[in-house]
Amino acid sequence: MEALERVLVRARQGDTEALSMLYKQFLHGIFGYIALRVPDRATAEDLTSDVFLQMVEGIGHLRANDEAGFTAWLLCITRVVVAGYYRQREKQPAQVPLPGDPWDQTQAERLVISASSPESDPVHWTEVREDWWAVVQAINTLTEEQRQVLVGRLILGYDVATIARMIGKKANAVKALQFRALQSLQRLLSNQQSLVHPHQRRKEEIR
Amino acid sequence: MKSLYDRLNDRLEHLESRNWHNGHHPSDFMLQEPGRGDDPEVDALIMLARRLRVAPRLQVDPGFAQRLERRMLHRHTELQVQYSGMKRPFFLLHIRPALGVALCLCLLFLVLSISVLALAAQISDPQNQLYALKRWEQHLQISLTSNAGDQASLEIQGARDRLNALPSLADPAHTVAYSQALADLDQQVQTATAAIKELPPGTQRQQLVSELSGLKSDTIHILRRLLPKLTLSERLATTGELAHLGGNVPYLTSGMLILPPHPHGRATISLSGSDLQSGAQLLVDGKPTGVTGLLQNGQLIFVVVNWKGEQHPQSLGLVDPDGTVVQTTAITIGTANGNTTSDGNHNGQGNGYQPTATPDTQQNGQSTSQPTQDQSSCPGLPQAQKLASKYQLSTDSHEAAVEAICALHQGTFTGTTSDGTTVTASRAYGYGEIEQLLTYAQYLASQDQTNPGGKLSDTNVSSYLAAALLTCGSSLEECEQ
Repeated sequence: MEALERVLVRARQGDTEALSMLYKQFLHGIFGYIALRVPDRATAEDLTSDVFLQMVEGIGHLRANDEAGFTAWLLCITRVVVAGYYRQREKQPAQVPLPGDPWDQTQAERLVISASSPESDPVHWTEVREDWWAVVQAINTLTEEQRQVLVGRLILGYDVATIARMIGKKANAVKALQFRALQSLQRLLSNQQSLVHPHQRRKEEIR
Repeated sequence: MKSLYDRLNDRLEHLESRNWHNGHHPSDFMLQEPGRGDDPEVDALIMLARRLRVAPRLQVDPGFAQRLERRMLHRHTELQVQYSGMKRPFFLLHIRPALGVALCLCLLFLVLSISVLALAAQISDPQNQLYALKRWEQHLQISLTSNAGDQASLEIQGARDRLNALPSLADPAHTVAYSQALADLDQQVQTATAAIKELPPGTQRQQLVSELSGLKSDTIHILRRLLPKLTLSERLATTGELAHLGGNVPYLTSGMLILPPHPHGRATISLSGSDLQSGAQLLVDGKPTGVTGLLQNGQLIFVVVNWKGEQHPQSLGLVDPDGTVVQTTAITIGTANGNTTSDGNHNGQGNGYQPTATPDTQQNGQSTSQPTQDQSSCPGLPQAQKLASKYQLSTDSHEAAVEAICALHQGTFTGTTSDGTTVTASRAYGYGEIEQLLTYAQYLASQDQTNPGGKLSDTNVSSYLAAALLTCGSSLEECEQ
């Protein structure tokens, strides 16, 4: 596979194929980051589109010439786009969501979840109850660095050294961020589990 | 034992290496990693991480991915069309940031240069570092002007700037700056004059001639006003500039110094030239002596009473009553016994001292040369007459006093003392020596009880000179002591 550095050079020069390669490589990570931060899939897809269109428009000005630098730049665009979404949302009147599943879950996914998630897993708990909004709120409570570490490690699959270069910190600091991010997330989701849906929990206990 | 951070990281990496990089679907590893039980805290976090990693809500819809890719590439094509439509230089800036940086630096340099030039244009002090820049700017401006009339106009304008700056520099603290400004002014006036000469007759030429004339007139006026405030060297330069501008200033052609026969004696300095005035102060080697001169026969005569030894000055000059200062290095040096040497660019007048202009002195300071005896019968007759006049004797060349002085100068003196002793001097005395003899003769006359008035007169001068020679000896050593 062609090194990302060379792909970046070609993309900066306007090569369409190189842009496609970058898109395919980073779509999953960018979408994952956004999906962790907004409540519904449609919004996540809209914002993901914005990010990649901005990538196309701005890649000619990009100075980074390695994968870590490019990822940091792309995540920076993503963060700004998500922040813009929330600013816009604050200006709009509050909307009451209709009941229903905003995320289309396949049966296979449901099976995977049911087979692998004990009742003590807070993510499982919130997913099962189709309350992704709780996960989003918990993720939004983390710091930006913690979010970037989680996305880099869990979704993009980068090692600690790459993430360290990406966010400009040492490897040990990244490990600490990774630990605290997961720990905070676990604590937040556990709290929500007990505070937001006590009646459902009681139902399950009865069953 | 490893920290929680490291243990968590090790577990995550272990899972990744086992599953993600072996071609398995990311969700598979969840099924293959049982909780270890010995590290519950890390186990819980690993569980959470796995759940996040494979959460179906984070998976991209393939249809959306394809649509977005097409949309993105379409946008890319649009942008390429837009870029190609842009002007070439700006397009270059987009793809070559270094070119943009260089262009920005050039613009910054340009702005800075313009600012500095604008600042330099306000500078009038030649000692300021920006003054040279201002001169260069003006020079460039003039050299870029092809029309001689415009050049002359710019030169006149520049000269006026210098002239306006001069009064602020007319003090001892700005000697160098004043001289520089004066030199610049002179150069610009000369250049303007030359440029005007190139112009054909016409309105523009007349106008510029009028402007230049006005400038010269103003310059002369201002420089004369500044003279009293200036140091001697500045006055000298200013006088030169006044002369260049056609001002009425003294001019020296040569100087003559008659050294005394012995140290600390009386030296006589005569300066020749034009536009000289009585009352001018003597300068020797650029230093004022405090001696004022009398104008006699167009020459300024200075008598320095206490001339120091064999001092041979390099320059002689004068400070005119109007403040102007002139100097000459064309100096002829003579001795009272008749030897002469010439310095500077002035030619000597021969082997012996031949005074040619020893004027009669009158009360009004004007001089007349009225030789009453044939010059050939008494070389240096005017000097002899001057000596006679100094001791209040008759200056008539046929009277005894002048005849006695001339005879001493020619080595033919014969006199008889009051006691009848005849004294003959075959040695030719210089006028300085003769003056010494006269001084001693006057002393003898004042001491002589038989002399009713106690003074020298035409009737007794020969007798007392003989007595003086008798007392002093032919070499005058006794009298000098």
